[in-house]
Amino acid sequence: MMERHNKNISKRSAVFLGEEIRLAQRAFELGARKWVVAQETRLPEAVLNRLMQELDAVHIGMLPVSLDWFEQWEHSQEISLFYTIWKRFERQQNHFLEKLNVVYFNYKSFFKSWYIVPRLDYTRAYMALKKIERDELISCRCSQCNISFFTSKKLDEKYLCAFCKTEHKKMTNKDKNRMITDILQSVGLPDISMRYRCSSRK
Amino acid sequence: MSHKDFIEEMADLNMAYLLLLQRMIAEDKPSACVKFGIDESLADWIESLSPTKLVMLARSNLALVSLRFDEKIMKKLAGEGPRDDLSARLHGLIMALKTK
Repeated sequence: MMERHNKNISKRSAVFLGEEIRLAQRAFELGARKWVVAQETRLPEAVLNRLMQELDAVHIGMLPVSLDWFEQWEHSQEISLFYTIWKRFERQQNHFLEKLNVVYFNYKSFFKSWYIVPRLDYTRAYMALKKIERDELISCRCSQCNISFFTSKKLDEKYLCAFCKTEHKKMTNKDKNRMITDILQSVGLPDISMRYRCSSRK
Repeated sequence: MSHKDFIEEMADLNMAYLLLLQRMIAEDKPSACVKFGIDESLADWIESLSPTKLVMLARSNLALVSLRFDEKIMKKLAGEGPRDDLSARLHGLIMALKTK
């Protein structure tokens, strides 16, 4: 009976449509832009607009497609985290959007516990995945920690990621001073006199 | 010197762990597998356990919970790094997710 029922579900059926609406709703709740959902589902524009209206989702357009954003170190490390989770889920669900929803939800939940908003939003995460699929972003493995990071150019085999580099790097006075300024700014104090600054001169 | 064997506390911890795991599996199995580092067949078995079996498992006189990662990853997850807490934790998290 179930098999017969499944056979009848074509990609234009009401059941499939309902399923896609549910997935689209979840994606909008996670912060997806309309074009991502439009690309990954067969839902008509009018349905998406109505869904966004009902969910109070913000209408925002496209994002720049250049690779520069994805190659910045802060963003690259988050893409690496997202892709690590994606790899674990890769074979589990059928619908692409369902998989993306589950992975993005998991990814976001790590930052929630640290009280930080992730830099990689839903749409950027989708774009990063597509760029990796199209080989625009190439995986580069760190020779020390063995984690894959993504760049547009192939790097040499002795590539050391910034995480591992900072572990070896000794903190200079310039770094210490920058840290003091950051701490003072974060507690709302002005950057006080230079006499507290670290210097090698006695 | 006291000779407490902590068996009751261990059973409580096991029970809390198993109940949380069972609840998370029922709610969202894939996420539970990632967060607890278990495979799907084990998740299915734990989900199917009756309350009586859960109590028996919890009272097995051994801690069912163990530290999943090695010292290097644990230190990073605790934010121990030369520079920045968040970087260390993020690095630790990616390494941890890669292992299991």
